[in-house]
Amino acid sequence: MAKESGSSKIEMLEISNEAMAEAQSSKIEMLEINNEAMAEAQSSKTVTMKPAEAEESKTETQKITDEESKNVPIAATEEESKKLSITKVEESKNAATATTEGEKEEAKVSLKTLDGVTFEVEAWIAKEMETVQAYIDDTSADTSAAIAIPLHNVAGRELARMVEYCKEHRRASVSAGNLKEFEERFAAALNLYEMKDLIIAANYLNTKKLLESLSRCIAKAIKNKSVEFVRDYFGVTNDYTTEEEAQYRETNAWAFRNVDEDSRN
Amino acid sequence: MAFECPNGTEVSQSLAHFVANPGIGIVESNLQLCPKSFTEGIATSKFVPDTKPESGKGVKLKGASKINSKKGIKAPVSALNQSSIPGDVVFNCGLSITDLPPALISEILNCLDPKDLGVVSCVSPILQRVASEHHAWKQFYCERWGLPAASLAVGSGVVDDDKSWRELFVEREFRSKTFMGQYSIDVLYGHTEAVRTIFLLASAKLIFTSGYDSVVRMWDMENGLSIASSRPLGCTIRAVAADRKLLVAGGTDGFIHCWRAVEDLPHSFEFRATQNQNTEVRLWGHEGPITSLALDLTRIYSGSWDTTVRVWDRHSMKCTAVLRHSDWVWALVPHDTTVASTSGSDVYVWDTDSGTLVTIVHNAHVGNTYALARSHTGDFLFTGGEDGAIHMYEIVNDGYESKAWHVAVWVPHSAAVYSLAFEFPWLVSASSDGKLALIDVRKLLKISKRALGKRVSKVKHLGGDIVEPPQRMLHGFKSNLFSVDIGAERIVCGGEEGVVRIWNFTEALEIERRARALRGIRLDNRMRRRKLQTELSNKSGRSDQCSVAAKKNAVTCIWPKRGMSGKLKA
Repeated sequence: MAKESGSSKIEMLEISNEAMAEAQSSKIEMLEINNEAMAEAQSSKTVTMKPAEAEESKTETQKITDEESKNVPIAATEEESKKLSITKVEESKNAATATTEGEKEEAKVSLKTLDGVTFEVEAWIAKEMETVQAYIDDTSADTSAAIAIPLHNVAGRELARMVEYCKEHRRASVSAGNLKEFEERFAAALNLYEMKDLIIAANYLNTKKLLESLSRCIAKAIKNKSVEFVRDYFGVTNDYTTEEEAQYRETNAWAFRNVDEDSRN
Repeated sequence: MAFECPNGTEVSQSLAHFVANPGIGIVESNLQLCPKSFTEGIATSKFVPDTKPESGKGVKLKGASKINSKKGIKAPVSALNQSSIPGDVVFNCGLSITDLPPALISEILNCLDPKDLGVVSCVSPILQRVASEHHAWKQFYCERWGLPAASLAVGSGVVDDDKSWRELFVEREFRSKTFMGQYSIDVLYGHTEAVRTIFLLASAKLIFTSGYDSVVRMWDMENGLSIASSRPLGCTIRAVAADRKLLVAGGTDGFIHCWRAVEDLPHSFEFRATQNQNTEVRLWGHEGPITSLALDLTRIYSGSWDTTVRVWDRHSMKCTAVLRHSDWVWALVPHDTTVASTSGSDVYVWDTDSGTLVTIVHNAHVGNTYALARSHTGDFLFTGGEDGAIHMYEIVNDGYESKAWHVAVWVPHSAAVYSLAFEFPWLVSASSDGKLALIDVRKLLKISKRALGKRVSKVKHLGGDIVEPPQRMLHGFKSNLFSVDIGAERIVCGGEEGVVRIWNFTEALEIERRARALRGIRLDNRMRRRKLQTELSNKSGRSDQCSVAAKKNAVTCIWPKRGMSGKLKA
């Protein structure tokens, strides 16, 4: 019996992953083919699955239909989807429950991320994310309270960081010194890879304060540094030929005064 | 697409089969990863119980995400599969910032200043393209120097078409070095008494001066000729300000005399109007001598010894605000919605719209604070006073309150500083010891920007150890200098002698180029001489060979030939 329950859990995860994969692939196809594919999917699933699972598949198809009708805006650069392991999923769930533990009384919004984790955040945090706020405004109050809002391009780790940023930012806004201290501490905990993912997520959800803060922190790191330092920090390959680089250095010779020479190492 | 859904069903069945038989999981995954041809897929679809080749087909159709999901599911089964997952994560992540869309990279680069943008341009072609973007450079240019003078005459669209803002910025940055080069001095004669005030209107190429003889004179900036002079206004004129629409002069009797520009005239202002009387207006309201005047687009600002600064509306010519100080007002500089003024030994910053005091600096100088200058962004204040010192302050706006932080102090003069003028990055001071000091504030601007928010590091700058001395001192006067202005690569000053001096630096770059060309010619001549000397030394080598040959002939010859060899030696 224990083995059967384990296998059923794994099958549940697999079914949800299949549903997400089908959702992604269905956007690439044309709308007419999508209808035929979903019709066949419904017929095949109803034959093989239990009644409870059939109801879940129906609700999923309804969500897919709602998503396409809402025409949710997609970010300019779609990041390749990455599957997290079970342990990482559990970590994200723990983070979500920790953040929403003490705020049960207020109105809440459910956000469902790329890797299937559902976050419940307060309404004022959702207002910071203008994409989410636009979605809430388009739907009626009854349906938005029931259904979790899908976020296709945002992973659970980034959303947890964004929720944490919004809460701490509101707490630290009382004085300007605390706000700057918080922003420096928040940015120091991230490396460039995490900061890049967070910038993409903030751009998709249109969180302006977080986007400005991250831009300022990256710009601050390369202020007054040499070309080699900036190239190494950004992880950029040198595409210039030797003559091209010499030409650009000569053209911008006025900019190389007072450059921090220690940063060449 | 018709084959996708049945394969999905059978893939789930094969997964259940895989869980039931963990021992042969590796073998099945190898079989599933084998590619299958399309015809075989069609042919074998009829055999429902045979799941292995069809599941392989399904995996191929769904791509890499399916493989990743399988690896995720295998993790609790074997430890070997767990190690492969971090490898996938490391392989997939790109640490390059250029994965971001260009709009987001541009957001990051907008937080940098022009020097850092120049460094970023040398990193890679992608960043070079983003760093040369248009609107950031226009913002940098306007922050430092305002709109270029040509755009006022021609129109801003034409300027954009001719050059990019980056080129304009780089050219202007280069030409700001001219004040360290050679200059020529023009002396303008015409005033019969001391010159009290000077204004340089660079956009119209005009200089306005006035003083104790109560006459306002207009000069051509380029050739130094007097264009016109006004009637005597009846008292000492202590302040003059102008733009292309309006010229104002303030005097000891407390009035402000205004001339409106006439569009038909080549020099815009008509001092002796015989036909139109509407071009001149006289404003009354101050109860003491007017010491300072300033203009912006909609207002006239005047400071007086009656301890008030009055704000006048330019269209209705009426006083709209009175800002009261505790002592005589010496100088004022407006910027956007604020106006900075000096009164006694203090410096005030006011909000012009509401008339409230934003911040105050007490005891900026020992004695009176005579002179005030401001950067174009309004963030930096420069004050000069009776003690001969020059102080630099930064107005930091935290959003809740504004504070003036002391940045630097210079003491280039041995007597009172009467006037200051600023054009990025040069600050010029005029003193009663008869000298002008030129100070480059570029490094200080950078240091103070970096120290924003960190108040501890400000204390270090108060010591003044980091501050460089003035880059240049200009001499030429015996006694008091009352006023100075800077612009269009020229410095204009006037003083007690009653003459106006112009230091003209426009030829500095050309003189430097000529000097370098001459040095090049001299080097070429030296190289030629050395080549000639080398050739001469080679010829002397040949004569040595001849003497060796002569010695050989001497050894072998008989007596009658000795006379021949003797001739050769001679």
